[in-house]
Amino acid sequence: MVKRWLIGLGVLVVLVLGAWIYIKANQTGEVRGLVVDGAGRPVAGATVRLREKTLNLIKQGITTETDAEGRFIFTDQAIIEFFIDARTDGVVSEEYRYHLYFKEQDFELPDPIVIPVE
Amino acid sequence: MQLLLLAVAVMILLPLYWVLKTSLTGENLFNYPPSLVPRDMHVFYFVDVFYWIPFARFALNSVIVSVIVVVTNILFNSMAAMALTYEFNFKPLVIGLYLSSMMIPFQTAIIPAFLLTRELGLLNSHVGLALPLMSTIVNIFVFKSSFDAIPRSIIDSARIDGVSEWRLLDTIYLRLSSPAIATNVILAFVWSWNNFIWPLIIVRDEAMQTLPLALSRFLSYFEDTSGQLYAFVVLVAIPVIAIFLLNQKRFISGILAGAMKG
Repeated sequence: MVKRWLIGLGVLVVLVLGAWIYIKANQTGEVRGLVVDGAGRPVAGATVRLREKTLNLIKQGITTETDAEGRFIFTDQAIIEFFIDARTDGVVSEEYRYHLYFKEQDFELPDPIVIPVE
Repeated sequence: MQLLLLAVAVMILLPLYWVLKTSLTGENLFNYPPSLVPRDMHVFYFVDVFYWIPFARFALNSVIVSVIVVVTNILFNSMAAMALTYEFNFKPLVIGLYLSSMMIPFQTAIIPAFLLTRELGLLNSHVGLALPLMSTIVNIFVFKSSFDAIPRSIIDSARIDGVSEWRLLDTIYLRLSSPAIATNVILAFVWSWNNFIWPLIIVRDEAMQTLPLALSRFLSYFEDTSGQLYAFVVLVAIPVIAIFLLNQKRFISGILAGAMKG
């Protein structure tokens, strides 16, 4: 019985420790991504808006701009769930929703944000 | 017969499966068409439970209280059961008192228990939360059945060798009663882990809440969040299931011994 308990406890400790190490190694608080147009070309100078979703509300957004390669980065984001969209010349993209596995997770958007302009 | 057993097993396991499925998909009971197969599974509802409420704090409270309850149950119950193996005046009366106290529901004694705990200055503390479950009659009789089954010759020979009462309890009674210990561990843990009414009465501070209290509050705040709610339920249930599985074999033999000899 004691052996079984020790194995169970050992597995639990290894799992918790493994998760903790993984989190610490990937906890930069950066949210990165790419903005493209309808043809898939990067959009430079687009405004990207990130809005944190909390339990009861969606917070006021923060914004940043894409660089010449259409890439953007938000730093120091202690968030767990958020909405993100982009706009350029008055054209707004669809709003995307993402959920992270832990706060301050280093996160690269899996798909580019598409602004429907040519 | 096997088909019938299979059907019963499915009936028992289906609600558990449904809870697990909902915790991973968020599909509530009213989704149409209902689906047994989970779709779009993810673990984000579990993540939300950790971030929306101080789950780790509540879990720690529950663990501390349950550990106190389990340890004190083994200690106090085994001492009481050992005493009941001796012959003394009015022993049937003492056993009768024990048994009759089992018939009084805890709710009827909750006010005196509260006043006593307050006088001891244990309100809003882990020890206060554990106090009413530190010794339980059922578990005393589980130990008593097990102790009664130990041959008197072993006890007598130990006494002749000059073994003290404490050593007798430790090295003979408890060493030969591992099924009874497992039964005590499981029952005490489950009762403590699921205890709701007593923590509701004596806890004043949110930081002292245990998981059943937190679950109740979670339910009242976030009725429409079925995924998170079911994830919470799964997290609360996992330790109980783990403790049972770890002690299953000995628990069953302990209960059976109690059934035959109690």
